Amino acid sequence: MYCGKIYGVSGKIYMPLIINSKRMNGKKSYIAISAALVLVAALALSAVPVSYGQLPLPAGVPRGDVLVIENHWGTYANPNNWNPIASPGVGPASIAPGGSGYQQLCKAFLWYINTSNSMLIPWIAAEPPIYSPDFTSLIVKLRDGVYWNDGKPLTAEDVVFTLKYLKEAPAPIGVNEKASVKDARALDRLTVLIELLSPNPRWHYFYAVIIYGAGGILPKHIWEGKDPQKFENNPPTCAGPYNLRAVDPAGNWFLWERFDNWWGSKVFGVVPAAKYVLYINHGPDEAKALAMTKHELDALRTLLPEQAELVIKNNPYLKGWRASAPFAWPLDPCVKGIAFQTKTPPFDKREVRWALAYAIDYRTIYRAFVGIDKSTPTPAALPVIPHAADIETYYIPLLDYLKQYGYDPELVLDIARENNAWWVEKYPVLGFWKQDLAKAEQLLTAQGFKRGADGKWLMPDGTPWTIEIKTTSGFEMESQRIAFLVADQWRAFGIDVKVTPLESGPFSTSYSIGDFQVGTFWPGCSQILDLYANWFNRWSSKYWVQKKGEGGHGTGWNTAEAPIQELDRIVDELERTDPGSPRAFELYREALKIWVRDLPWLGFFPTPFYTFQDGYAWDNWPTFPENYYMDPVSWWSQHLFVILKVKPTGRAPTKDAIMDPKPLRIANTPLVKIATAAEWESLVGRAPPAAGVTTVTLRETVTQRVTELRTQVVTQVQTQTVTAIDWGTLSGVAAAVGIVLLVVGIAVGRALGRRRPAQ
Amino acid sequence: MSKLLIFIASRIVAFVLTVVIGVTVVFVIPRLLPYNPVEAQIGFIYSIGQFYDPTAIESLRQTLYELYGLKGNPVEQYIGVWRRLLTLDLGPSIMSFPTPVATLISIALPWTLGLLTLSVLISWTLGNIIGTISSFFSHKRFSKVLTGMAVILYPVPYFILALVLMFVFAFLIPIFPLGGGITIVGVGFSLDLVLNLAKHAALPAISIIIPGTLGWWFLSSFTLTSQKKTEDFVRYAELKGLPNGVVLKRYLIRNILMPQTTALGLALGGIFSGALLTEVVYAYPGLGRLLYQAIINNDYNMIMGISLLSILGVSLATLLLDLLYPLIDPTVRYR
Repeated sequence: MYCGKIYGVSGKIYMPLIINSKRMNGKKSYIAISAALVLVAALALSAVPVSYGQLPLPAGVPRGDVLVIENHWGTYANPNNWNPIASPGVGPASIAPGGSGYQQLCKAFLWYINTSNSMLIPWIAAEPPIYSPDFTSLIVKLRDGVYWNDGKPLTAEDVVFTLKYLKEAPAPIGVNEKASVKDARALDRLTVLIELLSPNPRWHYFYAVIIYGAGGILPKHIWEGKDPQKFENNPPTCAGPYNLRAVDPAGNWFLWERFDNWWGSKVFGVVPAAKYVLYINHGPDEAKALAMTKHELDALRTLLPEQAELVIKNNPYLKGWRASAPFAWPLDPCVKGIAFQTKTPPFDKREVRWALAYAIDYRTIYRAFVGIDKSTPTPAALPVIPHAADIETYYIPLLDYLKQYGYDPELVLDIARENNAWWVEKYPVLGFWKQDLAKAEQLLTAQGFKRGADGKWLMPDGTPWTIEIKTTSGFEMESQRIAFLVADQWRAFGIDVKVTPLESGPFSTSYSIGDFQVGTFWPGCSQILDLYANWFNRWSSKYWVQKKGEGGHGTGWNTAEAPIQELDRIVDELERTDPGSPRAFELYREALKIWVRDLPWLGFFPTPFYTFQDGYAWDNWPTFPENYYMDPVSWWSQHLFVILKVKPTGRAPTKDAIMDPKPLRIANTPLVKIATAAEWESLVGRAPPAAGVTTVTLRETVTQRVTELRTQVVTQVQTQTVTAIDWGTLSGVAAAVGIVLLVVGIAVGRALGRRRPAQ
Repeated sequence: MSKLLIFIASRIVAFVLTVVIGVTVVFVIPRLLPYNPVEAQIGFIYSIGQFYDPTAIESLRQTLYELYGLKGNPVEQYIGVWRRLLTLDLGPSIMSFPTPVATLISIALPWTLGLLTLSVLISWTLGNIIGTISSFFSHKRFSKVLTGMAVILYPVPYFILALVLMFVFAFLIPIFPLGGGITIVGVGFSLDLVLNLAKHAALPAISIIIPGTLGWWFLSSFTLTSQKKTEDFVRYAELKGLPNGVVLKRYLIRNILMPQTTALGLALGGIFSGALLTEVVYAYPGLGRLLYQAIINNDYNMIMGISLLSILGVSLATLLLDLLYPLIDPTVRYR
């Protein structure tokens, strides 16, 4: 296929060299010989047979049989370790939850949450969890007919084993289970009773996929007796529709092959169309953009605007969040903007934070984020991603309250309308705080700030006011753009602003320890209506850990100047409230009002992501609005549902792909079921505590939990003193070692020097 | 004999000092960065919205400090590092916890060794041959063309060249893959496997060989030859009527080979730190890419492991050259 091109071009390259060689005599022909050798080698290499393009596929597999998805975490240092529990957190640290496809195709999840409608999708569990009336226990009923791909049934024993194994494993493995699970036991082959250490109606979120990193069930027959840290789990035993077929020893790609005897095919009657799914890292953004242009990549995470433009212009089959431009997905789970360190003066004053908010011209920032394909961000003045349900639950009911603070629902409506933004017709209420320089001036003056002779703001103590904004460098570059735009506007208002871009490590560290004044951090993440799921718990002071001499962990409210009793009360009540009940939403709205009043951070919008999907070889991608069955996010576990739905287009040759797969029909259910006392008794076979006693127990438990936390605070302070790096000592050691080395070096040098004259 | 022993001893002391200073610097510098791997990891967990029990996060933080070897004051940590190094234990990788650093290095090392040994040797050989010939025939047109090319190529950042090569030879004329180390499935050791490996290594290698050949090695051998050919013994040989080839081979190349061999030794010693940007651009799984990941994740142990390898590589190369030089070069033989 490439022969014509190769010979044509290589001819052009080496002909002049041959001509040169003719001018030289025989002894001078090194160059020609060398060049010829290089070209011969290149031609020999180009003749290596490949199945399609440059993709790693078994011989003879046509392009149409394989779905190619980006491995967005890059090259894995150890591609042989498939242990999903040993590494804390997620990301490049661990192959298993990362970009390898493990969490999309293999991992055994009890539930998924459909982020496009905030409903639960029971998967290995047959239904939502059933909580006891006091939320101290829950029952998980498993689906009948679920098997591991090695043929062993997946039963209640596996779930009980997983919880106990994680609880008993050395930390940091199973920290959630250690903190929350009292006991677990199988009531029958498919029913598990889990008893909790304290009441929690959201315990199942540890095992429900919200976005990333949810817990999966481990196969007891594989893991029993294994060292939880050292066991490599290679190859992983899956419960998904694919098995691991091949791994790149270089750590860039992972090839999965369809498992035709998958339990889901029997239970749901579906077989995925793609015979193979390949997760691959092509390299930097430039390489990914070229790969997508060549149809060697079917779905990717996002690209910077210049690379996105290249793909948009050169791939006529391209789809994104929509089937045609604008392509960018505008509902990433985190509202990006700026956060204040509210323990550090002058940002500890809500009036100062509001003054800075009023100094911002949101229209300019919004316009700067309109893409070349007319992609627009979705304005998010609240720390809540404005999905349709969230707009109806939070934005519209709070509209009048927001307007008291200068919220203008029409602020960017014209720009959004020009660009056909998705929300503009149905929900023309998404706006922002209108720029009001007079109000900003008034708020600052009332706090003792004044303008100097040059018109620039001085702090109340008369010193010039300089703000440092810490922002991203080399990743999440949209946040860096936000930093520079905000800096320009604050400068125009008369404040000196310095922007400090940081690589991901220092950036995350600053955030975690609260070492910043202002930063483009994003404490406002939410993906489902039940806001507690994304760190809302950290809005309560009972979970704050203060560090000696430091501002406290910089996670949104954790940086607040003092505990806010109203918020503490709300979080306490939420922890005893059915997450799907109207009362829960009332409580969230109350909390959001406090958030608006205090404005601990200032989110602008979820930054648009170019989650491209190539329609050349595959179709039936989720596209808004006509086929929006799932968010088009290939790195989330929920992408399984996309993989089960895509169909071959027929443009690429196929052999084993299923041309017209049966659609997956699976019920979306409420997030939880709460049993009545009688129902619980019949399920468990014993009576729950009487109602009055329940309340007492709850209060006792909450008190006990707070006490435990206080103890932990003390421990933390003590430990911190030890772990704090003593730079004086460190420099002393370094200097001492240096001096010793210098003296030894001089002595040796002199010893040698003395001997030399004798030579 | 005793002079020889003193000579050897002094070189070995210098070698040990280099390693000790190197390890100390590599210990201190990452710890001076405004970065803490544990807090970064916790911050990362926050930023992706993973659901964690708020009390569990605190216990996670404490455990990680302990497991990553970051408890204790800097002196204790420094002693700990030496204790581990002397028992040949590089500790666990922080970014790929709990996999040992040594395991990860052993996975990445063959890729880097294969790529860089070959490309350094090829560019050294080609660069020296072309440079010497061009310098010898400096009045010829091809020499002027090559010198012009070298002057242009030398300052071009090699990752720019790498991107250009990728665009031309992996996209416009798709002879080579966009990146990666290998793309072959279900094939044991065979010609296909070797060719597949070579095909993936080709662009990274070319992006190192072109600027290497026509950059440093060309320019250095060109300059050395220019200098040597004005010396009396060369002029005498020419006046004696010796053919150009003989003058070139026996009088010039041999003379410039000594400094160039030294430089080659150092270059080969230096390959243990990998070809950072080339490996990142081509997603090539070598030590450079591993070091890059270790730095952005502040994996102290991994940075120490790779740096130690690099320090040992360069110091050992220097030591060997120092010790071998008197044997191969009569003009510097220790008397």
